[in-house]
Parts: sequence; structure tokens; C-alpha cells
Amino acid sequence: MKMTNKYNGVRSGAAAVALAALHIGSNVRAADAKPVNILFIISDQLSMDAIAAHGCRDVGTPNLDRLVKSGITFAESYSANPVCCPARVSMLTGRMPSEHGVVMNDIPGVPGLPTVGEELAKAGYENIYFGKTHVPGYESKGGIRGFKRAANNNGYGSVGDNITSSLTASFIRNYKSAKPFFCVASFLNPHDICYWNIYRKTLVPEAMPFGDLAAKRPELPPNKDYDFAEPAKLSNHAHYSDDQWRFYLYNYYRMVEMMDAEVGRVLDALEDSGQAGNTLVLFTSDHGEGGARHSRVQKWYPYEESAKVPLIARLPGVIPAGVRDTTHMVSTIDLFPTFCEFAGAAAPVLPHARSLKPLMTGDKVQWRDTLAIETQVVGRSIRSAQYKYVKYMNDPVEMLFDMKNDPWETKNLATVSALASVLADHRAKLDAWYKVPGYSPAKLSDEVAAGAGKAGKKGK
Amino acid sequence: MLAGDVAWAAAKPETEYSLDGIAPVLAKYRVPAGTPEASGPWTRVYAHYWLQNLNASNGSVTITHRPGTVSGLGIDYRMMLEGGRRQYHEAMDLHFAWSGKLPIPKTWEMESSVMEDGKALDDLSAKSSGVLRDNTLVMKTVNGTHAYKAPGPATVNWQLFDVVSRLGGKRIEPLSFTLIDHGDKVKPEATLSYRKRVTVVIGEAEMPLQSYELKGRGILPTVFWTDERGLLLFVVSGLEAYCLKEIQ
Repeated sequence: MKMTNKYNGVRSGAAAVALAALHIGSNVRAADAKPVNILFIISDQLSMDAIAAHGCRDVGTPNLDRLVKSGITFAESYSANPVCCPARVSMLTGRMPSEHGVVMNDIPGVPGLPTVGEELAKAGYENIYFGKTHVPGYESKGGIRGFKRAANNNGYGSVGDNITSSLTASFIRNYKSAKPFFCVASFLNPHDICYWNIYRKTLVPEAMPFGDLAAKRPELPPNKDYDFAEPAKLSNHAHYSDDQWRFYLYNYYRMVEMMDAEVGRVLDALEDSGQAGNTLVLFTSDHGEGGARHSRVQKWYPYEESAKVPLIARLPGVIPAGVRDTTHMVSTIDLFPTFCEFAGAAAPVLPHARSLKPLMTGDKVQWRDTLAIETQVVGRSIRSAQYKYVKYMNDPVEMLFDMKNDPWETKNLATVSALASVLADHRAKLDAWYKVPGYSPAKLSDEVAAGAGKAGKKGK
Repeated sequence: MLAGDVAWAAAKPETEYSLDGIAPVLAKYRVPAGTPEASGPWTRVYAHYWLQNLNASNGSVTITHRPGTVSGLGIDYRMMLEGGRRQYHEAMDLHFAWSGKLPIPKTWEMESSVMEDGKALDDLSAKSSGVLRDNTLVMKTVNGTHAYKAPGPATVNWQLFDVVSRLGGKRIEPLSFTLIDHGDKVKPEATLSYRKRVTVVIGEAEMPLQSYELKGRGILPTVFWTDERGLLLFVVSGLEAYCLKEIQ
């Protein structure tokens, strides 16, 4: 197990484990301690690397930075499927989209799967959900299944997120019940970038609207331009000028900052309420953002900018502060059993999901050595410690990336003969992921199963 | 003509950033009747639009200016939730003093709530107050106080509606300040600067407009548009817009 403590340099192996164990040993909670509250903060379309504390120099995120500094952040954290509805239903049910059936936006999935809200409610939690929902089949006017009440807001983050943070802060400040709470604050930004003018192609380079921002526009990523074979469903690219791309990125980072300010309002309310010491704060995003990498906007794709998401957790006295886990591959499907374990609730048997609690608290645990990501209905990827393998159904083009030596995914190694055994091994690993006991794929309509419809063309 | 100004030909709003985003609204728009006097008592109502749906407004902000020894600004902000089933409401009563072209808030009282069937949901209602002194913002809530650094001059986002209305459409040196967004979110390194003068077609007539732009950390670049008298008509970012609807 390799861990990086941001303030004490890189640590590795047993030393890191020992450090974590020592920390926990000195802050162990009493057996009769009150169950922890859970504050689950979801962002929308936030890439792993769009946070200042994760190394981004183009953005100011003081509130996410303080979460990173006071908790654990996972460097190998992936969305189960990088588009809104599939990803969000996976968080809610702990299952891969191919299992819960919401494999694209706005289609209902398999009915009757238990939700994390329902399990925590059974354990005595007061559940409430604010902000963006977008979980078809699991929501109604009354709210999301398992949550007592929701104040949904599925519009623009530039307006809705202020409301979401205001209501969440009010709820926390006013909370007087003896029951622990499970409160979700689901922000829309930086998803607003999907609606930005430049995306709608109303701008031309000659009329860039804020010329004085030229010096402040972020540099382009090193993998904007690339040249390798891709499956046909990955053929969509955005064709912007470099100035347009940089303006796009400038605005994306402002939206990240807008969301960060809302997170700050919620964290301040938690701190002021006196509940911060007994509240697990967990922050993630449903998916990332292309941001010019591989010449793409938005998400859907198996590349890191789209599939990788922040996962940050804080619980004073239980989760060591300032830890960066660079070793364990984790997924948004893992959140369900994680919440259940922290809450002392029973989790249903889930074929792939694992509780992250031992990783967060520094306990030794045998961990998975592969992790799957699903994309665009028919795309499947498998990560191993060194490689990412990508395969789309009925498409002869495979992709293999060396994530250690080519983290920007610029060279498709699938046709390199010297790596034929690696390719074969990862085909087998992907196959094995879907043959675990208990996994049962959802029945999809022929149109959906073929990857037709909106998936891969337009998402929310 | 001032240096940097351009003799813009009449342009259609759909080609002029950021008016391009609200072209359907502008096609039917009429400037409401009323005095544009900025320093006196006034109340102005701005309808809010999301640029994705310009068929109907989804909220409003009403700003009331009260001149006096200590100037006052009242804010009433309402947004529809869940298709109108609920309504989010924010109210602010703010006292401030001018420092050059920038109004510096001194104290303010805030309330927020969610209304359902005309009633506020108790556990989602909140009251707070703010005091700005010596570059420090202290917010007082039901849970106690919380202090924030607010470097340099600071102003509340709604006060920019007042600021721009007093510029008379004139070129200004850029104003730098900390923006206090919705009364409690501190966003440093904001600037408000003159943009340009354009003549556009609004309704069926050409109208010259002046513009100012707001930029900074945690702010989507936003353009404030006034008529030649200085009356603030439109505030438009790439995503949302406030359009002057009524002068009381």
C-alpha cells in the first residue's frame, strides 16, 4: 500500500499503514459513540484534476482543498459510467449500469433494487436530498426512493447551486433530531459548461468576447491532438480553435470555483453546527469533463478526463488527514457499501462494490486488482495497476494504454505485438469482471442494447 | 468619442455578445416607463431567464434603493423550484456607504426559505446577518458567528445593479473588489470594467447601449447593459439573464 502524505512527503508500504494505524489508535471512537452523520456532496462533471489541491494551477478551490487536507483523497477513482444517469444510479444502488439497467440518460432501469437511502433509513437515519437528482426510475415528485424529502433542482448550476447550498446549510443548522442524518447536497456545476455559448458554436475566433482574458486562459493539455485508432463510437471530436478551447477551459474553471463556493457554504454550516467532528463528509462527481483532452468536450468516454472522478472523504479522528491514496482502484459503486459500513447498516450483497472504509481508515485489506468502467452502452474498459484496456461491442478496434508510462493516453498499444500477452490477459480480466457470482445483467431493449439512441451523442 | 470606442454599426442582438443569448426576449422587449434617477428612492424588478428556456421567466429579483445618511438596499429574490411546486425566496436588507464608485456594505440582514403552498418549510428556513469591517466579514447565524477574510474593498453582488446604474454609460477605470455573492460567499479578485457601446435592434427600433463586464474568481463573465441614460436594462452571462421588467 503506497500512500502520499501531502505534508510529510511520499510514504510507502508498511510505514504508511503504521502511520495510519497509529493515528486511528489515538483517536478511536467509543463503542457507544453516536452514529456518524453523513454529508454526501456530489458535483457534476468535475474532473479529478480540476481541483487546486490535486495540482490544477488554473483554478482556485479553497474549500475542496481544505477537504483534501483534512481527509483522504483517492487518486485512482473512477465513475462506473461517465454520464449522469448511469453514474448516479450506480451511486444509489452500488451496481454497474449494465446490472441496474440505466445504461444511458433518461431511461428507467431494473425496478426494485434497494437504494442506499432505504438501507440507511432502516438503520435509523434521517435522509434528505437537495439538488440535482437525475435518477430515472428512482424518483418521483415526492423525492428519491429512500429519502424523506427532496428539493430537486435540475436546471443550471449558476442558479440552482446557490439554492442547493442554502437549503443544505439551513437543514444542517436547524437539525435537532437525535437521529443521525444522511444529507445529500448534489450540485450541478461545473456541468453548466455543457450549455456555454462556445459549446453552442455561437462564437468565432475573431469575436472572442473577452479579449483581455487572453493571458488568463489556461494552456492546452498535451494530449489535445493525438493519432491512434479508436472504436467508431469515439469518433466525435469538438473542432475549436486553440483560443476557443482556452476560453472554454477558462469558463469551466470558473464554474468549478462557483461550485467550490457552494461547498464552502455547506462545510461552514456543518462546522458552525458543531457536527463536523461526528460527520463523514464524502465528496465526488458523477463523471469528469473532456476539457480539450483528446479534443473532447463533456464526458461519456473511457479516457481518464471523462471517467476519473474525485473521491475525497473526511471524518476527524477516524480518517487520517492529508492522505493521498495512489494505489487502490475505487469506483462510485463502492459508495453504497461504504456509507452502510460507516452507518452500521446492513448492505445488500453486491457483486462488485466494496466498502472503502478500511482504505479510508488505514486498515489492512485485500483489495481488487482490476476495475471496470462502462461507456456508451456497448463500451467496456478494465483498469489494472498498469494498463487500461477498452473494448466496444461489435467493433474490431481495441485500445490498450500503459497508464504508468503514458498517463495522458496518447499511444494505443493494442496492436503492439510485444504486448500481445498483456492484451490477452486484459481481455480475460474484463471477461472475468462480468463473471463474478451474483452479477446479473439487466435486460435491455434491442435499440438500447445496440447503443442507439442518445448515448454517445448527447448527455446531460 | 472616447479612445477605444468603436463606431459600431447597428447590430442585431443575436450577433452581439452577450445579447446573443437573449435575442428572443429582446425581439419583444420594451423599456419600462419610469425615471432612471439612480440616487433617489427607486424599486426595480428584473425578470430572470435561463438561456436554455427564454419562453418564460423562472424567477425575479426586486431591488429597492433607499437614500439616506446610511444608504439602504432591499433585495427580494425568488426562484421557482420543481416546476413551480415550490419557490425559493431570499431577502436581504443592506446598509452601505459609497467609497468612490463602489458601495461598501456595512451591515445586512438576510433570510432564506422554501415556500410550498404559500407556507415556508421551517427546517429549511434561515436567518443570518453580516457585518463587514476591516477586511473581515462576520456572519452571524443560529449557530453562532463565522469570520471570513474579505480583502480590499468588497461589495455584494446585487449592489452591482446599483453601481452600474450610476455610471451614466461612461467609460470608467476598472473597479477591483471582493464580491460577496448572495451575502455570504466571498469571492476575491473581481473586476468591473467598461466594455463598449453598441447600437442594436431591440423590439423594432435601434437602441444604443453601453456595457460593463464583471469577471473574477468564481464568476462566469457577465455583461451589464444600460441605455444611454444609464438605466440598467440587462445583465447577461452565457447562461442566465436578468431583464428589467418594471420600475416602481
